[in-house]
Amino acid sequence: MEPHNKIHKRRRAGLSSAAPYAYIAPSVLIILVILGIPLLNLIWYSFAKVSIVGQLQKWVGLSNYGYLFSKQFAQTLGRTGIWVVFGMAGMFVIGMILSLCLNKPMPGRGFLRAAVIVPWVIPHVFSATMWMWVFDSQNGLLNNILKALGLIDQSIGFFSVGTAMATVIWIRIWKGTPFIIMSMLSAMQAIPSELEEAAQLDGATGAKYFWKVMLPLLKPVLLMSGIILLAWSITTFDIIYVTTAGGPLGATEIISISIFNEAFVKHNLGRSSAIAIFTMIVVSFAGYFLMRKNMKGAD
Amino acid sequence: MHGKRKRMLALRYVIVIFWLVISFLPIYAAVTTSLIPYNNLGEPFLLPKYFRWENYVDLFRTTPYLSYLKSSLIYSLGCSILSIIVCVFAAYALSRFRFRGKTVFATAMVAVQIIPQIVIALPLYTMANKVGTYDTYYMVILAMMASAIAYPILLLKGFFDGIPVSIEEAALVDGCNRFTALLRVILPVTLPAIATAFALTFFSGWDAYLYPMILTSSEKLIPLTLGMSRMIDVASKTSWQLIMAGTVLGIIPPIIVYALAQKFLIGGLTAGSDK
Amino acid sequence: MKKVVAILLCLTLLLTLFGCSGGSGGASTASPADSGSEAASPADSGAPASTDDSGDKITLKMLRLGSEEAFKPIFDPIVANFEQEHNNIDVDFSVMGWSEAATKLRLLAASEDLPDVTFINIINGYALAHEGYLKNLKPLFEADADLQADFPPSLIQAATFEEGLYWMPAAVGAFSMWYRKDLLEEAGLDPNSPPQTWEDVITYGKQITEKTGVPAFGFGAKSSSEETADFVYSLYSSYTGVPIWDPASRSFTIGQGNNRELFKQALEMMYGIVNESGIIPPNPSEYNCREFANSLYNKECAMIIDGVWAGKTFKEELDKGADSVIAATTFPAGPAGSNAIVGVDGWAMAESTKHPEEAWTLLKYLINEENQAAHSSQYGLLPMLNSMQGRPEFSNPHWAELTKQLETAVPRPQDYQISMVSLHVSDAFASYMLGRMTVDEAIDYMIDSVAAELE
Repeated sequence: MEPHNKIHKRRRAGLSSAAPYAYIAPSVLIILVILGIPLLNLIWYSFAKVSIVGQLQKWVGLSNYGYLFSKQFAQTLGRTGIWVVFGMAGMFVIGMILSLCLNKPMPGRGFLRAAVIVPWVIPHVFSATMWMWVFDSQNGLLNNILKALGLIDQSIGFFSVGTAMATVIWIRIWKGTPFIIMSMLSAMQAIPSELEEAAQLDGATGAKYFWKVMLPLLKPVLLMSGIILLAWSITTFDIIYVTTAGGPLGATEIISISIFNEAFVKHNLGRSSAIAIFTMIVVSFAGYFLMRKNMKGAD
Repeated sequence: MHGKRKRMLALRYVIVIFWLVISFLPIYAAVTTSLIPYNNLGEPFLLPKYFRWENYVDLFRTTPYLSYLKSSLIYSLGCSILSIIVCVFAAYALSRFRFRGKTVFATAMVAVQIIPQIVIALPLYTMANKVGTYDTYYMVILAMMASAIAYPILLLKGFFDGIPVSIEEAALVDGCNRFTALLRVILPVTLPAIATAFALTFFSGWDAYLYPMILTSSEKLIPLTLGMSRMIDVASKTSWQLIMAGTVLGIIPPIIVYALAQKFLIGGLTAGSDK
Repeated sequence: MKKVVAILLCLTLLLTLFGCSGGSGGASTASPADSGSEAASPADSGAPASTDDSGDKITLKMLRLGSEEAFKPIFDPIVANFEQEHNNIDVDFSVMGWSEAATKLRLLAASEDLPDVTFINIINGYALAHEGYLKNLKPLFEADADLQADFPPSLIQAATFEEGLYWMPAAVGAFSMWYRKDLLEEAGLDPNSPPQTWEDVITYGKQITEKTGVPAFGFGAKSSSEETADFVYSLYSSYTGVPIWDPASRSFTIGQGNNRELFKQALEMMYGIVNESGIIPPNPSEYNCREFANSLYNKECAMIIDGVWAGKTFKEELDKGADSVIAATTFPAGPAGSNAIVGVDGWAMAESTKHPEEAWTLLKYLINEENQAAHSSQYGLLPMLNSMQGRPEFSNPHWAELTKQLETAVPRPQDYQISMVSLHVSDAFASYMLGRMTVDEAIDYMIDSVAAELE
């Protein structure tokens, strides 16, 4: 028995230096192959003037990055901030409330759970067009409902300068909430039921149980979802592109729309790349600090 | 106590159903539109006025809908199954090993999500063309995986963290190696997370639009999203009734997948507590 | 658990197989002749096809932008006939969605994969031509007397870019005005004398709105919109008599002569319509002028600015001929006349084509009288060829009105950065209409922001 155990231990110790790299190799490979090469391209584009098909015309140094200090870009950043903060707050609050409702057994729970995630499975392109039928400012379903209920006389313009941002944020919340619900539900399932019983005996029920016991347990999942949602929110493109294309008058022009407009409307691939690189760096920093806590025992 | 629980239950129903009503407004609009005759498109509606079920027949007659559906399924299943395999390993490494570059790896994975797909498109196309993987299913699936695996890895890592190392060590003593311990002991306990990750990656595959558009050319490889958006006519009047019919039908398969994944989710829970 | 893993592995394997079959299928290109064989007579095409396969039979790729369900029925028979007449040529016809064009045409061009004969719209076409991916068809066109006789020179002029002719116009349409006779009548107006000038639009509009309660003029000033920019170009030229853009100097013509003053008048007139007259539907910032065809059809407005393209929406009504309550007339005239923009999309040849002669043969075949008539009448495009005049497909009254517009039409800015120009023009116009800029600020914004981004 004794020697066998020793061999085993030695093997484990030996593996731990190379093994983790073997485990992460497939994912690293995929990301390197698919995203690595485009990333390199992106970097050199950002220092150059390139043709619409990505051929070098001339090197321009840092001038593409000059745009990052313009008033226009500051406004884009501000709008992106509003989009991210309100979108994420909405998704988390609504997602949390619904997961709490759906966590415990109730008749028809399976059906309700499946129904709640429906928005997530509808491809982005279609979600946007479907909502346009609802929010249309002439004959939209919502305006018709509000008129039928006698709440309004004149159609509301849901995509006008003052309202468009709120409307697209709403669509984003609708589309993203199921993601939070799914993550939350699977995390809640993992909380042992004994824990709740024990907490109840200690007098931690209802809201107190939620804040003191449940939330700390859900924190890792919340943090992870938060980081990934942050990344996705900044890059969200289809929903805004299809509904408002960044308009009216730039009211919904967030970073991803700027990147597209610079590249494909204004044919300025260099500036577009500079914006993309800038965004990546900012998010990497945010991600790194959030992640460092979570990756305890790193390096 | 009993009355309070009943009231809570009622409240839960009210909240969920209220949300569902709002959620389903666009789907209601889509279903209604899918039944409107082409000539009557654009009329304001509150309640459905037309019931032209033939639109659904037309959908199959005038477009290769079944082929779109098949491609979408292949992309989604490919993306989800391969992603799960890759993610389980990566998440396991992140959770169980200390190694140099761990945080950097995790950060990089999230950071690259920021690269807008639209910017990747051009170099990716050139690369696929050079390597000879242009116009294949796997090129599209690989491309989608690159942006789909980050979240499942982090999600699974969180779950692995929650599993006591002692369970694994017991298995190692029983003669398993790390790999078989992962398969036999850890995976069954993390089924809820795996089911969730499966559903999420499946849906990203179903959502695929830009990558198939850029990386394929034959009609056989065109998924639902692309097929439907090809019917949008910027120059003239679009057949919205067909697009909406296609969309309504296209929502069904992923819902089935979620319903199935959900069973695993509950099954995983009981499997975990049995131990 | 082992079972689950096993199943997963099996599925993975299966998938890889799928992938392979998809890949090899794409590479070997399942004989494109299949699509043609239905229409071609079997006795004729059967024998030579089998012998030619091994010999010098060539394949041409042909691409139309648009939707499959609209164009396959139009072009499948044309392609089949062509293959029958030229049995050494196979045509591989495909359709690309409008939404894909902006990104994908460039990718194809960059890797020299642009189909031999490709349908091009202006936004993508100018950029591709500027980069040298499209063949200049001018020498071929000028060497062909028959073609020259059939195409009105104004059309060729409008399609000319950087002194070359990079595509043969096939999808032609100009901004015009559509109106409802019944609503004019209900308002006590003569249904057979539609508004001809902008003053008419305002007086008619007020009367219709007052008498019928329907917002008379379906109009919107959406920002960042090609359609809005096209409208502004048309308005400008109707007031000044010249196109808004001078391709030679790559700048606006606004600064020349009295143009700025006239343009200002035009914009102020539009401001009055949008903000003071009460004749347009609410929320103008959310729509461009081409989004009201359904409203017109559903009798929710009485006049709209749109081109021949809207005809598809009204088809059922227009088919009633003289009894149709929907009719067309020319773009409302300004002091200089009715000078609306004309869209001239069409068939281009890839610079990278390996079979330029055969591609030109196919291209000419697509725009011959018979085939162009099929294309135009089935999809709703102007019968622009001289030889097409008087054909029965175009006998309904609206065709004459829409075609008349071509005589006075002006081109859109002929510049490879047209999408950037249109973006700024529409933004400035919308800003003024919404009261966010004064008229002078709006004009200066157009000039300055375009100049700043011009390469």
